Amino acid sequence: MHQIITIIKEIKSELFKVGFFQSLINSFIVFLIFYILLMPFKIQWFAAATPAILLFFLNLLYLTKKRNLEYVETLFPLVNEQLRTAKDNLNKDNEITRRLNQEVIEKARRIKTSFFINFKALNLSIIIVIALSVSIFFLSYINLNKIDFNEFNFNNPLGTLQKITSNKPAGGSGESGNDNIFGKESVAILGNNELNLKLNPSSTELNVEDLQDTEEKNFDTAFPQDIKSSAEANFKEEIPKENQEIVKKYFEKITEGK
Amino acid sequence: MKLEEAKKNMDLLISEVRKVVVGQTEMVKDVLVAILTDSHALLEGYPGLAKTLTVKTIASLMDLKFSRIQNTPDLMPSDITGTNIVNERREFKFQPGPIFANLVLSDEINRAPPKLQSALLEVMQERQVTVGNTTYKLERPFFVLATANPIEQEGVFNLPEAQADRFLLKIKAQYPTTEEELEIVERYAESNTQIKLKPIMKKETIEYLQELTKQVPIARDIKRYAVDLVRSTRTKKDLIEYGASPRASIGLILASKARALLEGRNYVSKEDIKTMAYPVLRHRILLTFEAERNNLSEDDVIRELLK
Repeated sequence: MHQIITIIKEIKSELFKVGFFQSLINSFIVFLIFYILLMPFKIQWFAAATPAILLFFLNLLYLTKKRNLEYVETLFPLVNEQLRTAKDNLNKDNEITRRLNQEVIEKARRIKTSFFINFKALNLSIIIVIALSVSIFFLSYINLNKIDFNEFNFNNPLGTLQKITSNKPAGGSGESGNDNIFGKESVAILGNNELNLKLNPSSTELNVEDLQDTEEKNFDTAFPQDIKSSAEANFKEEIPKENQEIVKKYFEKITEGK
Repeated sequence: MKLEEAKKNMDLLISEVRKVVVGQTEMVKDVLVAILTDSHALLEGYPGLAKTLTVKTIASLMDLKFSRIQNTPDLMPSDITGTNIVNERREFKFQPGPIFANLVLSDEINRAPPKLQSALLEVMQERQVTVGNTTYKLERPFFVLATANPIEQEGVFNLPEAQADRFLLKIKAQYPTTEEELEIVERYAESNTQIKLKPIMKKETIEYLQELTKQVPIARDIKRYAVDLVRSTRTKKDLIEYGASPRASIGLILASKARALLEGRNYVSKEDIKTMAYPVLRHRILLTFEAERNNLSEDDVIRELLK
């Protein structure tokens, strides 16, 4: 009797674990979808987490209710109707219920947690999570949140979009919407000391109208006086006397060969 | 006795019955269901479908006191219950009727007059007989297996629905298949072999099997399915005028338990409920005029309910 109770508890616990994990993945997918949808609107990330958390609890409740012993029996037909019967007749102790319990215990040992996992759905969920994560990386790269949708005119969406994109280029440094590309004066502060800097904007653009004729220049052909040449210094080799004759012969041999 | 032994006993009984009765396996099983549930059964079918032979064969295989009542329109209740007679010492002495047996075959029950039917059904319900001021308890086990012929119109008194409710099952005898009929012809028209049967099931065994039947566990949702099925006979107003009573719910669960035991299972399956729904419900529902006009039988309606 005790054994059958333990087995039923174990099965229920495994069902809950699988349901918990599945709810977690589903709610994570919802979180990622909401995160992507809310990215352009400068809304905090926890706004996307709220529906995900809500879904997690609802999904868990649904799965816990739906995945009962009947569900186990459909996945493992060997204990079909027996598991439920054994569970509903725990308070009865007679020859037949004892035999039923024994049979269920033997068969239930073959039930594995993997029976409760829908690998197709799990793989699909993982693929969706990966795809959504990659989408978030991509959208972060193009800095979608720089587009201020507050200025968006929904009556003329195309025109407004053109205006937004031409005025405020995506990417780059500095604050968008500020015409002064050198930034604010307050930027010129080093630690607590205010720097006395003056930034002079310069232009590299050529104005064709400012071009003038070339001036003729005369160059002096004489070399400067202070340029002198000096004799080459000889290199004195310090060869020991006893070896000097050998060296001399060696060089003579070399010159003979030429 | 263990469960396996019980199953072996039942299988042996069925195989022994098959030596005499060709086919009719479902009918034989249903009769055994009635015996296992300590209830009564009504066998209905056209003449010559081995209804009486089946009951007689089962009775001879069981070590039980068997009696047969051949019903006729002039039969009196005292003819079956028994009566007080004056003996040689001029004293009243109760002479028990054929109802004082373990297994009673009430042949062609629809030929019996209403007074007798009423007396018989009271005995079936109370399992006791009252003659004068004295009440006599019937010996257990006690079951009545009645047969009826549905095509007779002259001199018959069809059982009222309330009285038919006393029978746990209404078993329909079906026509045999061609192969079965060929075997029947070979067995009974071409040879004179007399099959002698010996009792193979003792009274104690039957009582033990009846106790075992009650012990067969059933899951709560399967029990609910059975109850919902019986209740649906009361709500399906377009097809059923009068539905089955809670007695049908008890009967359906009990019959399903017996069926499970016959199949050697230690739990009741939904299939048992579906199978036993027909014999348990078919005599407990009264079809509407609309259903009858559409040529629907009780079984058709039950099939509809099971969908």
